[in-house]
Amino acid sequence: MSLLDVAAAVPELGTAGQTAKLITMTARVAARALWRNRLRSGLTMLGMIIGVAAVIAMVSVGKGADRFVQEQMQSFGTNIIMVIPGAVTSGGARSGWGGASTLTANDTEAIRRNAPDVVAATHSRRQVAQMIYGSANWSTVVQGVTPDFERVRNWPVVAGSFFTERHEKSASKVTVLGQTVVRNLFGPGQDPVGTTIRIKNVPFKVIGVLEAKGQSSYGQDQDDVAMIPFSTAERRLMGAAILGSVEMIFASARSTTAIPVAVDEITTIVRQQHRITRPEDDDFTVRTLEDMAGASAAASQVMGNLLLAIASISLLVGGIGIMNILLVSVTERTREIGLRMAVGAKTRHILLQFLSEATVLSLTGGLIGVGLGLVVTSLIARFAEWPTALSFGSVALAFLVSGSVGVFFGFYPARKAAQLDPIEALRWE
Amino acid sequence: MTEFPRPTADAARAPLIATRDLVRRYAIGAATVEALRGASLTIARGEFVAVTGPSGSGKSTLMNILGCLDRPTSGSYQFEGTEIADVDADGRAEIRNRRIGFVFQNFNLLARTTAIENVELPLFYGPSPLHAQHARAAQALERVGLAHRAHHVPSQLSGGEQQRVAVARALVNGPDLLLADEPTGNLDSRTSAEIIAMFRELNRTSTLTIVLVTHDPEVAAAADRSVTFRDGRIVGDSAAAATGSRRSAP
Repeated sequence: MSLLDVAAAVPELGTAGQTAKLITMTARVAARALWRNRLRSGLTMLGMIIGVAAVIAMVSVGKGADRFVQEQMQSFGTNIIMVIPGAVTSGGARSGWGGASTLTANDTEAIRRNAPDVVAATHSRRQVAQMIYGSANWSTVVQGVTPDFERVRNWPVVAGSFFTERHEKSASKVTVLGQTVVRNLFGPGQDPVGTTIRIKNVPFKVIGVLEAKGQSSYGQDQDDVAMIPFSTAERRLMGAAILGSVEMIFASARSTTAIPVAVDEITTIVRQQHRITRPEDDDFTVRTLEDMAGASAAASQVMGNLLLAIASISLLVGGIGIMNILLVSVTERTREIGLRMAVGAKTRHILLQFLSEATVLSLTGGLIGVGLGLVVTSLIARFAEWPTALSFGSVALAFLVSGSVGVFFGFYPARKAAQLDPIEALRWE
Repeated sequence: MTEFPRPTADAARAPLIATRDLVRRYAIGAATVEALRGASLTIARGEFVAVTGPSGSGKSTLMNILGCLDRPTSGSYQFEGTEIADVDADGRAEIRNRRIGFVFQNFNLLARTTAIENVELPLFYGPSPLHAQHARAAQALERVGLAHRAHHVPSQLSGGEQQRVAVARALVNGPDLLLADEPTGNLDSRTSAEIIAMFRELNRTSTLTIVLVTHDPEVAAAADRSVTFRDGRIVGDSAAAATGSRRSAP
């Protein structure tokens, strides 16, 4: 008679089957061991949880800020290039921003005609002026621009239409208003299109209302503006010491990748216009949003490095916590390890056992951390009203890294367990 | 990894255990302790052997070597015709898993783990499928008369019951050899008698080879053969005495 009848009746598993069984059993034993010491496991995971949550929340805030800046840039115009008067050079004092402008409407025309990678170009002059409608009055920036402005600044009208070449040629007294001006001059529900307002006492017909743009990245209200044709501004409102003098030229490149080429083209054309032969004599500066974004990119680089440092430190601390508690666990369970070895556990079975406990700890911590991070992110978005952007990549990465930390810091205790001498281990008190 | 070879016809004819001139030395600090000083012992299939002798005489060292938990410093140990010195750690783990059952003085059950799960433990590391494990463990528990206590944890069981769970665990893989180191050392005399009766019964009905270490003359008397150790040597063997041959010099 054999000891047990079933022994012969059930077929044995192949190698793959045994591996699958081993993984199942190991995971089950690990989960149970951790569940038995719930409080201890929870406290051990805390480092991991806080680290991962902090990383997720901060990455979300960082990405949100980045995206906000990007959107702001985008709202400024499509592939925009600016030409401003003056230049900062080493060769003596020069007028910079706001000095007497050397740029003219002819420069804009030359750029429009001769730069193959520029699809539109406009120029502007600005002046603060008082405007009146009925009993309401409002002081705002009146900006004289050409019809290309709408396209260059990527700023469509929501009612009526923008002015055209015809208005520009005839110096028509028409205006397109920003939303803030509309709100301050007109009552609610009142349609401004078709009405006549007075700017510096000159009557202007309102032919359109611009889409709301909100604050610029510098905190300026971009909607507090009234657009009029450039010729009208020059001849009827602002006057000009030199006819055709403009404060700034805006051009739009064919595509984002064409921006550097367009910048070169514009520089060459304006130099020709101004009869400049040596670059150091430039009386203008060509700038792109890229240049302006440079500072903010550097800032977010610093922020990113800081995040990385915080993430590394918290994951390191979390990993050491896991290693510490696993070392305690190996000591506590020395007899169990000896017994498992006596009944047939191989070195790698014991190694796998403790590695999987470390991994379950760190992955669970990582998972909870991700959850907490998402909650914190949504709280920040709601209560601090900061822009946040969830990044699936950072969530996946946090999870992956927490798993790796578990394997890395679990290895030493696991190896210590696997290398125990079964006889010594069985005698352990 | 070396697969432990399945017993062949040759192996079946070989004695289950054959040791020759086993020596085991330990280095304790600068000093060397010689726990075994040349022990030669042959045990055939189906024998029930009691190993006795004073503390420190080398009994436990012998058991560790027989159980493939330890290897001799010199000498030969053949288990089912296989020289264990030639088997690597994984191979020895497989022998322990599938050919040998262990019973300890202090039971060595996992705390807060039910009886049936304790019995299942060796099956984790063997080739039997998960779904069959429970049935086998249940059957092993039934064999030791504890089917009704399957879902109790060790702290809810008496000493005798705990030791029977341990015996069920040793039996669950259908071993050829049962090694018991002072199995009744922590039990009262009545429970001891029950456990020994169970060993007796297993030895008779299943031709299970049993080697047990004991201090208790009553327990030793229950075995068919008694081997006595002193100072790392075999000084008495009832089988050898009966045939008048192979008596070790004192």
